[in-house]
Amino acid sequence: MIRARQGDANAFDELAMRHLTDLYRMATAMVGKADAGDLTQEALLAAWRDLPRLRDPARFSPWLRRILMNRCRNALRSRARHVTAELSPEMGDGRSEIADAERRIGVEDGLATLTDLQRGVVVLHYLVGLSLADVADTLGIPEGTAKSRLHQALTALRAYFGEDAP
Amino acid sequence: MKSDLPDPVRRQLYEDARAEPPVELLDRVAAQVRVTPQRRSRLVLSAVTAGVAVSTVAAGLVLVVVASWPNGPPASTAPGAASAVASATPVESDGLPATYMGQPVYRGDAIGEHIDADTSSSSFFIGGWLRGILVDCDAPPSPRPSSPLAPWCPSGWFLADHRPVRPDTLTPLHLIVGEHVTLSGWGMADPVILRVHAHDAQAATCAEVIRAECERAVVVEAIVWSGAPQ
Repeated sequence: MIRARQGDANAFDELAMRHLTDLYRMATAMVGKADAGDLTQEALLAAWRDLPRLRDPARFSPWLRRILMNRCRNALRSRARHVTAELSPEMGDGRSEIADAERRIGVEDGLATLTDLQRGVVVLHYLVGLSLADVADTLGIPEGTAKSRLHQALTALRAYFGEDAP
Repeated sequence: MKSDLPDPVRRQLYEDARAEPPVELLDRVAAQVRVTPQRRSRLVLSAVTAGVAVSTVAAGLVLVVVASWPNGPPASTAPGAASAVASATPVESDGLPATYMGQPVYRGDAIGEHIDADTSSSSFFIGGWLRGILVDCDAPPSPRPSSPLAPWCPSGWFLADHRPVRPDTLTPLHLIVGEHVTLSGWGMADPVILRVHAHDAQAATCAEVIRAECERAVVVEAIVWSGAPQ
């Protein structure tokens, strides 16, 4: 970390390698695979640029997650609210693949009913496994707000998918 | 994965949690890092305070203009002031200098990233194009706490991160000008550099539900440079 802050690109490579997969998975859950790579790349580059300005190096991980989440939230805001199937070269034309793509689109439509902040709370809490306090810290919001957004998100998702509250 | 999520969402997140990044992604990051300089310097200036006017933003940032000029902007910062122009580096392809007085000039997404990285109220420079827009807002859907740093209806002066073509291309900052500040003298077709700060002390007085928005509000201290023809 110290060497990266001093401008050592090789040292930053090690930091990027350590966090790349987790960031990519967060971005995938937030915006889908099509844009996850670009947003992960942008977030890491922004972190490199501003690393000397990070006051507390111990907070590198939450800071990096926040940069990525802000980029993902901006992408969600600017994105048209419609989803198309993402057919990748490795995807065959069998029924299971088609059914899987349809299921994904259905889930995405449900997630699209959430605000970008609600979606961010869901991803950080359920995918990354952060506590609500850490979710709030990452998103720069009060813990009470994180808790209420999670409750709103779960209520909206259950309503969308026709499930009763537990 | 916890079970209180609807089953389709839980399964989707389960898959996303196992997604593998493209093999070339790390190489792409490494290549860009080697051609991208780090931002090292920090500008520490005392915030100018006087009457405050407010603004909101489409993308979550708020720009507040501090009415620090009772009789209009001082000559040294008026449009076309030679001393201000001399402090800026040559303009980049977007029409703005990369630095001003030796400090970086943030624009676009970099403004928000800087605010997240530096949680102090230290001053910094942002650049863009001013544009006055009148927005007609409906009443909020539910009672919402209000603050000078987080007004409900965005209207007034915006800072676009590129030369505006139409009102709907405006991003991302909106500002309302204080009664003693006159922005109409600034050429809207020309870029400006503003000295600003975020994490204003007033954010502590905001209601909890809007405090994050207040913290991210960008408070304008001065217009320090304009790209208007000399």
